[in-house]
Amino acid sequence: MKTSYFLSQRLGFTNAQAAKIQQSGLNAFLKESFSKSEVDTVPSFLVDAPKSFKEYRSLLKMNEADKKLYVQQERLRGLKLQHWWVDKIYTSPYPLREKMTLFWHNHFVSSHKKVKVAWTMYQQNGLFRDFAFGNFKTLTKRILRDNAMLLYLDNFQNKAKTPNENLSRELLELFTLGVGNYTEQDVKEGAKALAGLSLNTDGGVYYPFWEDNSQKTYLGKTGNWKADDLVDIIFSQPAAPRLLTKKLIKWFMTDDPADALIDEYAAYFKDHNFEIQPFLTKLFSDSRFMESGGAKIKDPLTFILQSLEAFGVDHLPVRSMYGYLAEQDMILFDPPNVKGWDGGRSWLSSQKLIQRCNVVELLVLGQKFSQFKPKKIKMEDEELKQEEEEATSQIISFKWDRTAKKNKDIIKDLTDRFVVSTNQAMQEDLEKLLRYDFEPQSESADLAVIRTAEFVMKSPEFQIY
Amino acid sequence: MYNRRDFLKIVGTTAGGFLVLPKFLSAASYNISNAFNEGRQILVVIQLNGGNDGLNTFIPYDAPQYYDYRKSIAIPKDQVLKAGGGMGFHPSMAGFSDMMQQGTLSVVQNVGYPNPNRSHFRSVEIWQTGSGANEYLNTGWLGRYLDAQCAPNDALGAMNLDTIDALSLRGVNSHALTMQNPVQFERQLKNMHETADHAENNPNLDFVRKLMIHSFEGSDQIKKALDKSKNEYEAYPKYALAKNLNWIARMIKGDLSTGVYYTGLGGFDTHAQQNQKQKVLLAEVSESVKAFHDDLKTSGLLTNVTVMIFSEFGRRAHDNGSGTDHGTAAPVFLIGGGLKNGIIGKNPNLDLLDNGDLKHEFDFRSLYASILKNKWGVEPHKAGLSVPAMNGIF
Repeated sequence: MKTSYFLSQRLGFTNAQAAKIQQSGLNAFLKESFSKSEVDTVPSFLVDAPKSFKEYRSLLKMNEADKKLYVQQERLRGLKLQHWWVDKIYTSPYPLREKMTLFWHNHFVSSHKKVKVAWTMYQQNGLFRDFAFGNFKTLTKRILRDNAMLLYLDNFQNKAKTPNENLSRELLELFTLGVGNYTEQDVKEGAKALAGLSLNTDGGVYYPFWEDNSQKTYLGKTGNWKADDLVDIIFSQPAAPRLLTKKLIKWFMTDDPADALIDEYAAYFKDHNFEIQPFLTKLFSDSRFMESGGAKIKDPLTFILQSLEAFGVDHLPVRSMYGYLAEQDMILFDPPNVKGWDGGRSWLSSQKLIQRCNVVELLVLGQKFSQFKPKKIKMEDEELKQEEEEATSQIISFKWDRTAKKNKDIIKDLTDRFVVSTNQAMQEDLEKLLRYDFEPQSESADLAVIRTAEFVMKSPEFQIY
Repeated sequence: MYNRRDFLKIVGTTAGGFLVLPKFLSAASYNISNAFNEGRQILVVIQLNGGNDGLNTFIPYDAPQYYDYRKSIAIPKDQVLKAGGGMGFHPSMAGFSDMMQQGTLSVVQNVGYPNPNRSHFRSVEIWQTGSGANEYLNTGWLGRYLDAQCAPNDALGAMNLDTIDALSLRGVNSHALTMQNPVQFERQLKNMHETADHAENNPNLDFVRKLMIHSFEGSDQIKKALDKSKNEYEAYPKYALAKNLNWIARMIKGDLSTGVYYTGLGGFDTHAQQNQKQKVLLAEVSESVKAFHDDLKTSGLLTNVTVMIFSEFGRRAHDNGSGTDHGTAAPVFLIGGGLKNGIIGKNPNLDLLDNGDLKHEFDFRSLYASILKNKWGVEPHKAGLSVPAMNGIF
């Protein structure tokens, strides 16, 4: 694989940024990626969605008929929200920000299925996007006051007299220190500190009536701690940088990072005050990173976007994307549990592998991906229907270098783009598919190149990057 | 660890890519529909890659032009194995000559198509898809036949012994399996967890390959067929083609429900030193096919089997000093039961060349159509062929 394709895939999702990286170099590309993203305007489907705390509360008092209608509308909003994000990921000129946004989503997990308020999920997504290259410690403070998180981990039910430890536990176990670096007593004490922190229109606030103002001993320190204090105490612990460091390295570089590598980067992360940007800058210029091709198994989203991008698909079909991601167990805004997606080998089973290859086959046969309808998804909605129509009517065509002169040039281009490395056996097979007297200008050239690309994209090699 | 070659040996591919279809996952889905299986008629296709020189394979030894045009490569008349009507086989092809005498081999002369294309790539594509010279198809003629004939879930409709797929077998649904070596396939499947190779030391890649291997449950049926036909016919020569045909014979004898087998042999692009090269290749073809023929005849299965041997084009009538350049029409050989005639069609007309090339007498698609109609009882249009079936084969 050519370096620019490797970087495009690792710093984003598809090959779409390869030309830009090739042209301007990694540093300039990173600089652009780090610069502030444009301000999001509220998507049309959320304009009329309930947003204020008052509206939330009124939801609880709805009669059965209204509740039913709300559930229906909310389901559609969830579908549109996922589509909105996937589309953003796919079309962003600098998708590194989206890749980090997705990382945070998978770290500070909340699920629309439980939260049931699309607006809060959207707000949380915006928080992650703002903090894509920001400070881990600050984000941890912010997430404790995030409405979706307070709903997802039940802190709105955490009151001095009836404590709920859910958020307090995950703050230690999954968000920061990890198992072995705290005690059950710390979880209990943390819950006391978080008691009374509950929903409000612009994020969580303490409701004095439910607060616990007793002295708490948290990770060895005693005081009347509140949410921000917990985070300050946690981040002064030696274990603070390691869990997230390992996750970042796994997200960007390898499914199986060596301990020494994690230790080195954990120290760096701590030295740089838990800032993401210098961490990523160091990682992406590390020779070990550059040599890590093939160390990651593609997640379902990366796999599908790479395939669609290769075939020049502009409009993503809602139904097929949602169905595919659902069957591959990667529904955005709905990770399977608070731990998020494990990644690596857990992405694949025989059946998922087969499904991935079948998707490639649909694209190859010119039957559009929109014909992939794994399960019934109700889309009784004009906006969705309109998008689906656009996606279904687009003409797709596989991208290849039509100025290439020889079969080997085309084969090289394909292997440069799609597989981390090639070997003699693969080369021989490809030269049997696209023989030496292949004429790139002939009318059947397109079909022949697509058949060759299909061979590459269905190979085990295309599952890793 | 599995390296790529091992992986392909085990797994093979489906027509159009890796063997990856949900069809393989359901154990109930392997049974080819009964209509397809009853009184089963099997086709074995052997593709000679590179453009075999027809004139030096089935030789018009009575035509003086043959010796005029081919001063450096013509086969002396006394060495030709006479087949009748002034035609005869290359001296390496005693097996073919023998089968013709037994009435189990037909030669269809001068098979080609209008506006012939001399590019290997394109001409193979034309032969495999069954298209016209200016028509571009994405499916193969046998793939379309299988689409029409098999239930959507039938995965073992055709088997291709190669490392890459044959476009011929490509349909809208995948009914074809490509594997390089069924015996190793079986053995390696058994020993899957043993480490064999550390050449490509990527554990992720190894993991994905193993998953793909696991996804193939059709292996059970192949294993059963191979077990059932354990007693190997001894007389196969030591050629690659013979090995493939031996496997095919074992799968046929083991009652595998597959109706189409596909394999090939390369090296026929004889621009130079043709006689040395072709002699070896034709011996491989003749001896291998003869052994296959005898194996099936002994088992009483030859009546249901037809072997078709073709190449993407023949070669020029005139030699170039030591070989021949790309040409057009050439003979197609059919071996099996139920064949009506030994030689079909006129002898190559060496007086009426088209720009130095033989003119075709039979369109290859009419030959395909005859196989579909007269062997399988399927209307050729079901496989997308609109050319009428030729007469005189079955």
